[in-house]
This record gives sequence, C-alpha cells and structure tokens, in this order.
Amino acid sequence: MFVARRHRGTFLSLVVGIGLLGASIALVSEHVHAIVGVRDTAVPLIAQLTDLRYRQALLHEQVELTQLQSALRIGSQEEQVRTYVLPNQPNTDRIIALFDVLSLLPGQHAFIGGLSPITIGDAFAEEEGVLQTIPISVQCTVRRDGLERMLNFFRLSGVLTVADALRTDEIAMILAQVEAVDPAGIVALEQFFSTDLLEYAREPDVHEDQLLKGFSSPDVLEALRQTLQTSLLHDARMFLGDALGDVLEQQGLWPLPFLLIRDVQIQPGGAAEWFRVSLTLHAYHRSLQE
Amino acid sequence: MSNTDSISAAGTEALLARMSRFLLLFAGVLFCTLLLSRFFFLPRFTQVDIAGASYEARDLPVLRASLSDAVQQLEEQRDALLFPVQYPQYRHLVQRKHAQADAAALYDRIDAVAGQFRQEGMDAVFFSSLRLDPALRVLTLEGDVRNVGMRSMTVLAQFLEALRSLPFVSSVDSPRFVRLQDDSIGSYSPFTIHLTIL
Repeated sequence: MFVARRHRGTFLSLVVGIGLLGASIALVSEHVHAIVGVRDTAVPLIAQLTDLRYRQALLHEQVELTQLQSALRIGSQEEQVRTYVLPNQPNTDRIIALFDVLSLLPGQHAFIGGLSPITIGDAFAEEEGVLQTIPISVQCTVRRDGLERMLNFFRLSGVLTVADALRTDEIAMILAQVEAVDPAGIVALEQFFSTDLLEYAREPDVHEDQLLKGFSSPDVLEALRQTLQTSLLHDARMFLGDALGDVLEQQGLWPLPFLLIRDVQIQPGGAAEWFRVSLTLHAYHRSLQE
Repeated sequence: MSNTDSISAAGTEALLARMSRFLLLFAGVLFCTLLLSRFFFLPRFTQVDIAGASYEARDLPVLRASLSDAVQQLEEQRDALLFPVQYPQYRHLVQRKHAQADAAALYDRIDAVAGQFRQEGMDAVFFSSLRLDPALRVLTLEGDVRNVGMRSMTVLAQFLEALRSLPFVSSVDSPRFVRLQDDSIGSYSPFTIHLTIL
C-alpha cells in the first residue's frame, strides 16, 4: 500500500511537472511574441502616433479659431448663393443682361465685336433632380485677347468668394504650409477666403496685405504669393478689377449666375486676330421641390 | 524474481521518484517566475508613452485608427469653416468648374505648336475649327496643312508628333492622311484630330 501511494505520488509529480513545463513554454512564447510585436509594430507606430496627436491638437486649435472667426462674419453668403447664383427659378433675364453688359463695354474695355441671337433651350434636371439646367447657345466675334477674357468671365460666373476661386489642390497646398509652420495664421486665411470675389478683385492690395500680415514664415508667404499669381484669382483681378466689375455692381448683376461652359468652338473670324466663337453654356437653378 | 532484479527495480523507482520531484520543483519555479514576469515585468516592456499617456503596444493599431478618424473629422470641420458657402450642389458645381479645361490656354499652346511649322514666313498648319468639350476634356482640331508643296502629309505627321509630345495631351487620334489639290492653295492635307487633354 505504501509502495502504491509512492508510485501515485511519482506519477502525479511527473504529470504536474510536465503540465507546468508546458504552461511555462506557452508563457515564454507569449513573452517572445509580445517583444517581437513591440519591435515590429509599436516602434514604427510611435512616430506616426506622435505626429497624429500633434496634428489633432493643432487642428483642434485651428477649428476653435475659425469657429470664432466665422461667428463674427457679417451677412450670409449662403443666402446670396440661393438668391442669385443658384436661384429657385430660371434667371434668364439676368443672364441676358450679362451678355448685354459684355457686348456693350465701353471703348478700350470692349472685347466682343458682335453677338448672335441667344438661343435658350428647355430646362432639364441635373444633380439627381436637385438642380435644373438651361442650355444657352450664342455666337460672338472676339479679338485674340478678348477670347481669353470672355472664357475667363464664364469661368468666374457663379464663383462667389475667394475660397471658391481656388482649386482643391491650391487650398491643400496653402493649408499644409500654414499647418506646418504658422497654425495661428488660419484666422487671416479664413478672413481672406470668405472675402467676396468682386470686392477682392476691385481692391486686391488691401485684402492681400491683410492676408500676408497674418503670417511671418517666408515659406507660407511664398506659397500664398504663388497662389495669388497663378490661380483663378489672378484672372479675377485682371477681369473683374476693371470697368466690368464696376458695371456689374452698378447694374446689380453681382453675384453672377452659375454658368458652366458645355461646349466651345473657336473658328477664324473675318479678319486677322479675330475669332468667331460658338458657345454652349449651362445655366443652373434649383428645382422648386428643393 | 531474483534479488538482483528487485534491487534494480527499486533503484529505478527511486531514481524516477527523485527525477519527478526535481521536474516538479523546476517546472514550478519556472512557471511562477514566468507568471510573475507576465504580470509585472512584461507590461513594462510592452507599454509605450505617447504625449504623456501610456498605451499597451497591442492597442496601438486601434489607437492609430481612432486618431486618424479624429484628425480627418477635424480637417473636414476646419475645411467646412473655411468655405463660407456649404450648399453641397454649389460646392459640387464649383469643383466641376475647376476641373474644366481652359479653351483659350489650349488654343494658345496649340497655335504655338502650329507656328513651329511656318516656312519662309508662311503658315503651314491652318485651323478651320477648334472645338473643346471642357467636361470630357476632348479637343477636336479641324484644318489643313498647306504651303509646303508635296510634303503636306509629312508635315501633318510631324505636327501630330509635336501634339503628342505636349505635356497636357494624353492621347491623339491619328487622322486619315491624304494629299489633295486645290486651284487656289495648291497641294494640301486636310485633318480632323481628336486630342484627349489631361
């Protein structure tokens, strides 16, 4: 009986010993996996997470600053879009008035030699029925420099603010620079972006100086100056900054209705440096259901 | 069973009993040590400090995902505040406007290419029409090559190659090459070329 108990004790020790050894191997494996995991996953992530935490704090600050600034903004540009740019019914009278203005610009500012009858087609739905589009066809004769001015005019039509005149990549480039070196400059940028485009085009120096004063970094200043020179803002200054801007304001035609060039055909005109231009434009308005 | 056999069996049993006790003791100590390490030492090696807060290494991918989402949301919020007009259809139309090709700039670039084929002060490439679909970014050129005698087809081919090499042109559909005769302009090669703009 004593021998049997001794045998059972040995057997039990062996089984428990082997079991504990197995569990120890599992624990060693867990240690190895944990340490390899730190080396392979955590170490590369730490740098990314530090950057993300920094960006989060930065963006949080920028959002708070822009929220404060936008709360101080006077007048609703959203309302202007709904009333003039994308009204809830066709605004053909304003569109015809625009062609009148373009063809009747005085003296040295004139660039349209002649205008054909304007054909206005039937409205059709776009943007999942939220918007209606009216095709407008017109032919005109223009000088070579006038060709660029006329097409730029239609590129600017419906663009209400400075921000809307900038492409997504241009804005992203400025924001990346501002975020990297001058995050608090977002306030000056927000003010500039919300400036009415006609107001900017008529007094570009005032608005640009105000913007540039908000930054001290040469990199940001360079990025801003480059964008001001190469973007649609340059065309806005050249085009809306002269007599046309005055006429548009006097006749109550600003903000311009949203017109998109659908088709353009350029043919030689009757004389050298003159062209006959056939344009199909799409004029947009909101559906009544919207 | 002989005496020698029983002594040998008893020795083996004693050895086995001793070994099992040793195994139990060794495995027990090893297990306890590893268990202590698992709960007290390992977390110290697998925890990382980021901006003053401690995180488990295995939680970092989840943390990165949630931080990326938060940053993206903040970016969207900031961008929305930067654009005074948030009406979605307006924003979409503005994007479409910016995506359109600029017909006047394209005309200038292509006219400059045509100017390279001017010979003895006379234009060789004449355009009768340049048509642009700004949304599809397809440009259709119509015209002819003249004032180069019997080489009009060769000059047309060279003009096509020059168009293909323009950085903003992604593809050029070759026209039909033909040489015709006209009483007033002599030999000429008419063309209709479709360019896809980048």
